[in-house]
Amino acid sequence: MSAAARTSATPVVEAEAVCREAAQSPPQLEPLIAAALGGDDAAMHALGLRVLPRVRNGVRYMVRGDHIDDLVQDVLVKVLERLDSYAGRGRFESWVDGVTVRVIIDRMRKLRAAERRLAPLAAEDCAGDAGVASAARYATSRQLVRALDQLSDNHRSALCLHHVFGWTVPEIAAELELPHETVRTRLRDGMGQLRALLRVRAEGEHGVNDGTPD
Amino acid sequence: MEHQTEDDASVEFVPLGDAPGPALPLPPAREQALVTAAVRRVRRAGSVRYALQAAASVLLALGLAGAAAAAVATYLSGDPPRKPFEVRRSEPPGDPIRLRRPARPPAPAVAAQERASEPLPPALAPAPERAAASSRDLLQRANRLRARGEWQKAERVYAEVARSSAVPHDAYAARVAAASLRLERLGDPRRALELFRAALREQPRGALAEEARFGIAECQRALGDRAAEAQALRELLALHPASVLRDKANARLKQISVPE
Repeated sequence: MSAAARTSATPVVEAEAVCREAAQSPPQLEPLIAAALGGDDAAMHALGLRVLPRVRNGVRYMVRGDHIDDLVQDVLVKVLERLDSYAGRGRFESWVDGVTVRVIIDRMRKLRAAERRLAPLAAEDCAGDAGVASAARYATSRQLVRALDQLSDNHRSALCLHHVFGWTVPEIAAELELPHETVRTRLRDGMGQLRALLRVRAEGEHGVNDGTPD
Repeated sequence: MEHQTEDDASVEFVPLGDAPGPALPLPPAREQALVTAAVRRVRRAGSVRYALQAAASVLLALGLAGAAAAAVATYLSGDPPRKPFEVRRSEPPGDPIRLRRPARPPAPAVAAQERASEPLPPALAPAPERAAASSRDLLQRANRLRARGEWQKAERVYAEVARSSAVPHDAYAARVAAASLRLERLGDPRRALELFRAALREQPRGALAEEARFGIAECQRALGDRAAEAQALRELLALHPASVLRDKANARLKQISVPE
């Protein structure tokens, strides 16, 4: 929503902007969910396709590297298996985000226990589809995740849970079983590092001349 | 007054949506394959679960049938059924029962040390510890409910902890959590405002003071009171200049200071 639109908003619209559950899922989703719950494979498939882009974007924010599709498939399986727990409360997308985050956190815990990294740093191997209508948005988000890839998992997960999934500090603290102040420190330090990384990148892209020939 | 410096170049987190990014786009055929594989896994898991349930039912039925057959056989043989927990003495008749000497109890100091290191079962813990354990259990239960998206139930449990917990920090944390749920999930900014204010009165410099102050601003926003919202945001920035909510507060202050 643009700033102008927001400043002229009525209290009702403002209330919707504050309340994460204000907007309901589009009505055409309901029959699809009902059919999927009834065991209809085609409906499950359609629902999976419907949430796939959002799930992939959410996973990519949280996870280092572009090889995310195993994890994305795990999230889709959980979404379809737990569909009965959605029960029409709030927005379907918010519910899917919650499932996504929990699958990722669960996976991270297991990997951390095994002292492994989620995935090696991946080279950018595909930028060809960036010429879509939302190219600027795509470019911004790609730039951001490349910077996020350089942060530690702790900083990254705190930043993404807060800024992408909209979780509050107490919610993150409860989920990750951390003191509030630790979450705040991770958010502050992570944001500081992210700003520094983005600044360096921007300076590089805008050709801050250091005297060396091209 | 805005607390933004040159170092605070804004970092834009593109909100989640269906538009491409930050994940690399997938060709449609791969999207289809990915979803098909997920649906197949759900189906397979469903079949395995069904098979396990069926096997468990068969085993249970066999076990019940076996028990019934044994009871009938016992009845027909005329042997009176053994009392439950009856102990058959293995010693020959007349053999005096030897009393075993009980193991020597540990020295009092050691025993006290061991006891101190072991958590007492809740029922045996002293009253304040029992209250703390029960309020912590309730808080955890509320956290689990919130994590599952059961907002109303979670709010009720948080409210219960806020009302009845003997542990001040738990009551305070529960009050802020209940307020957030009322504001963000249950569409009740008026009650949320009361709860945030109560939490601040209770602990003006508490661990969640930033969240409570930002919550007050958000409640005022939801209620359409811009002046009160701006005041709450300025207060947050003045009292918590290094807050993680500083960017949001500054951005919102900028937004509402634009003349209509």
